[in-house]
Amino acid sequence: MVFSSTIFLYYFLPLFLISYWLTPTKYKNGTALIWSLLFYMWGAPQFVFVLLASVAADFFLAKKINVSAQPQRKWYFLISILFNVGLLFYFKYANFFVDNANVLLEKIGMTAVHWTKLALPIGISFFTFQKISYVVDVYQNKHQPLKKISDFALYIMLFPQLIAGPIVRYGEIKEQLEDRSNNDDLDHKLNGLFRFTIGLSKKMLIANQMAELADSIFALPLETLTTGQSWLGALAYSFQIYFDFSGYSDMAIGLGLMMGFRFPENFNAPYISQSITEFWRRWHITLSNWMRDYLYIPLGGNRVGTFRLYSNLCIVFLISGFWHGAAWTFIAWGAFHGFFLVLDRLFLLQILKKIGKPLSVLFTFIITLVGWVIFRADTMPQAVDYIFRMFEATNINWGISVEKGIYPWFIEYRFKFILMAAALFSFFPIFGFMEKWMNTFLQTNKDTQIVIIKAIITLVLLAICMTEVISTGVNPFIYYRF
Amino acid sequence: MKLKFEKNQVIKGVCLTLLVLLLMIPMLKEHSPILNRELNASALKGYFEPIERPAFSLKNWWSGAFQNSREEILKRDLGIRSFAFRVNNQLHHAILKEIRTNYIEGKDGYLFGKDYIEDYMGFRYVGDNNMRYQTIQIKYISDKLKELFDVELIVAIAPSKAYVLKEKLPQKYDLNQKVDGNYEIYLAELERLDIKVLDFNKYLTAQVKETGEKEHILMPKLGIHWSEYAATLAADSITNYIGQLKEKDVVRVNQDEIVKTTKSRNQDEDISESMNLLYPLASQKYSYLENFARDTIGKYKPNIVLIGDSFGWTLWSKEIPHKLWGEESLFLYYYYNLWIPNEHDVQKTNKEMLVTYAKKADAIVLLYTPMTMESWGSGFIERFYTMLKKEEGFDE
Repeated sequence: MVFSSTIFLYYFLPLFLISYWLTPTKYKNGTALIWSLLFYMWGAPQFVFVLLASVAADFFLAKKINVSAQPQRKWYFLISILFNVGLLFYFKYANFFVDNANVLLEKIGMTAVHWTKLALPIGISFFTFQKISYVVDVYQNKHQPLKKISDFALYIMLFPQLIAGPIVRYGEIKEQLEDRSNNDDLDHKLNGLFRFTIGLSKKMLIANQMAELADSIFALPLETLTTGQSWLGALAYSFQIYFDFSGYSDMAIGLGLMMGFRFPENFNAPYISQSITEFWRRWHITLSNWMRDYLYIPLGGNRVGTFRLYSNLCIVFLISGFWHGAAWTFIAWGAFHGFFLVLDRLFLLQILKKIGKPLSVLFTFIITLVGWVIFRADTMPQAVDYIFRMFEATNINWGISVEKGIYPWFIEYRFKFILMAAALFSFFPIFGFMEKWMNTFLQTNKDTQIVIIKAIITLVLLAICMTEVISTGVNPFIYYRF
Repeated sequence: MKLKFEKNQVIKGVCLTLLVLLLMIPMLKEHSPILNRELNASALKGYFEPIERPAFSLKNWWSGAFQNSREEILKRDLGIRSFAFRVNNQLHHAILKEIRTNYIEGKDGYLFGKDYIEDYMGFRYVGDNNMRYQTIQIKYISDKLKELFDVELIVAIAPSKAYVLKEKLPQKYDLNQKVDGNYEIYLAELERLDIKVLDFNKYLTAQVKETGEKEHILMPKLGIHWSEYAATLAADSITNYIGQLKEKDVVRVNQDEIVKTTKSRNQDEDISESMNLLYPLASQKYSYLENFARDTIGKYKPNIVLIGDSFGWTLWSKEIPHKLWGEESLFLYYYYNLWIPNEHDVQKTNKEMLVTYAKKADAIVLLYTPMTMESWGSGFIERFYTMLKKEEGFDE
């Protein structure tokens, strides 16, 4: 079920909120779990048993890990990791490996392997990482396992974050799963609804519009693509993915708040980063943190020699790219970012520091744009050709119309308007005071005036989004396919 | 202090309740007759793909087919759909200057059909050979009809807004790129072959240039067709021309009763209506001829077979065939649907009936605008040419 669909917004959500708020504290987890199950069963019924079976397996394996001594403890741990990684590989990467193997086999004159394509269980990348974090934390004795399987199932299947994050690590939510009565008040509910609406607006009013622009440019034949068009397409996609994914995260965090959960933040104005290193502290923060804690540090982290350190960075980013999708473009995108992270450590950070904030933000943003082209492209040759167009500078007209008779510089007003709005919202936190003011506004409800202003903003945006949802088709979030 | 805290809590509670209620409006509206009335907006104009109500079955649910169609059904049946649609279109038009149809806004708020502009620019050109061949066929049909049955064939060119109001075309079009299109080439061929032509496109362009539409609107700002006023006068010209050819004293349009109003009739605001806005765009002051077919006693009503595109509807809706033309007249919309003044229902083109009418007619009028000239005659030319050529008459 997509958050921006009619069924979710006008049936599932209000009915869920009313039933959840009316449920006595003791039974709130049960209510949330039932609705989460309904949510998944509506969207991906064929995978619900895979999800339930894997939840049950991890719950019991973690219990075994907790009560067993070495070496059994280690064996249970390895079984659980292999089970989770194996499921992810089977469902997400088997098609990719078989396809590539077949290309190789055909090249050497052998018969291709017959393979029926597998469908991807929605949200598998996210819930697999959450389950791994649970098992690892229990194995490392950081946290005790949950007593009730229903609480564990709720941790994994909680519908706001089940499909596309944020990736909530077990330690971050353990206590809230057992007791969140401190967060059960009007402030959390109002702030949650406000945050949810902001996310919905990001998706419906900016991301979807930018998607239209980006799609029309990426669909142009590469031979006729001008330099201006290629930059415009990259820019549109960079805003699309940011407002789409951060919009989803806002909605998830907002839904969590309405239920009394405090999920970790996933974005912090990533386009004002002054280096790629900083970008990864601001973009998909929960994935970066997960990668750091469960991959980079176990690989040795910073406490290794220079060569190992750079190799580790590259490995982490290659895996991070591959996590996004089973395609060479995602691997290349990960490698591209890993490369700049290594450059940062070698000399780039020094240079960026010297050139000052505006130029370093611009430089980092351009690197990010190029990265998004690789991410967005259907194939590697398309990505390479597209990037060549960006730097060719032979024809800088940016008009996107392929109709004859139209001025080559013409862009529709609506695209200009949304592009400017997207740029404004993406870059205004560059002024520190704005960021501070926004955070205060988002979290405070002490002043009645602020409450009323927020309620009015929520009301207006919800009403506008309502008309948009009803008038347009369903546009799933980009990260739904990861 | 405590009182202030409590007041704050009450406000928060009220705000939250109102916001959740807002989310529930579509659901409540579906089950409450009170809300039903308050949010009603006029029905949406245009064609919407029918959606079948999904039947629940385990198989449908498992495959996701039930869920997908349920979402579509919910959108369609949502009590506030037309209201939400209109508000959304209004917002897109007001803030983003976007029209969510195949239309486009030109200068000073003039609305155009994109295909009409493409045609004006010469980008829908059907090719010299095709046009030459068709005009030769028309010439042959014209000569044969005259020779065998004393029936006139007249080519009437309805105006294209892109030609008549080219200075109002959207800024994004580079008019220097305009090349000769179907209209220019056809017209040259028709004149070369001495085929009878009534060029309302040329006439209205000159009229608008001369008068600036100060007195009467000829091509409405918010419509795609000619105004009802212009169409009525064009019908008078057609009737009069046939009268001259047949040397008959025909019924003429009385122009002394004109109603001036901002309330549009007929197709005068067809584009803006299809935009499905909450608040319609500001209308112009239109002229409507009332009681225009008064002096009919002793006058001849020519029988006319009108074959044409949607511009013919303006004549039909104004009841021109019913009031100015003879009882044996008919309107063939794109040579496919057949309308007869005394009958209510549409009929599919019937060859026998058509031949009977054509033989009895005073004239056959081909009424097409430059944009639809790419499918000129919609099959009539080829069919009549073959019939006349094969048997040197209609009797196959």
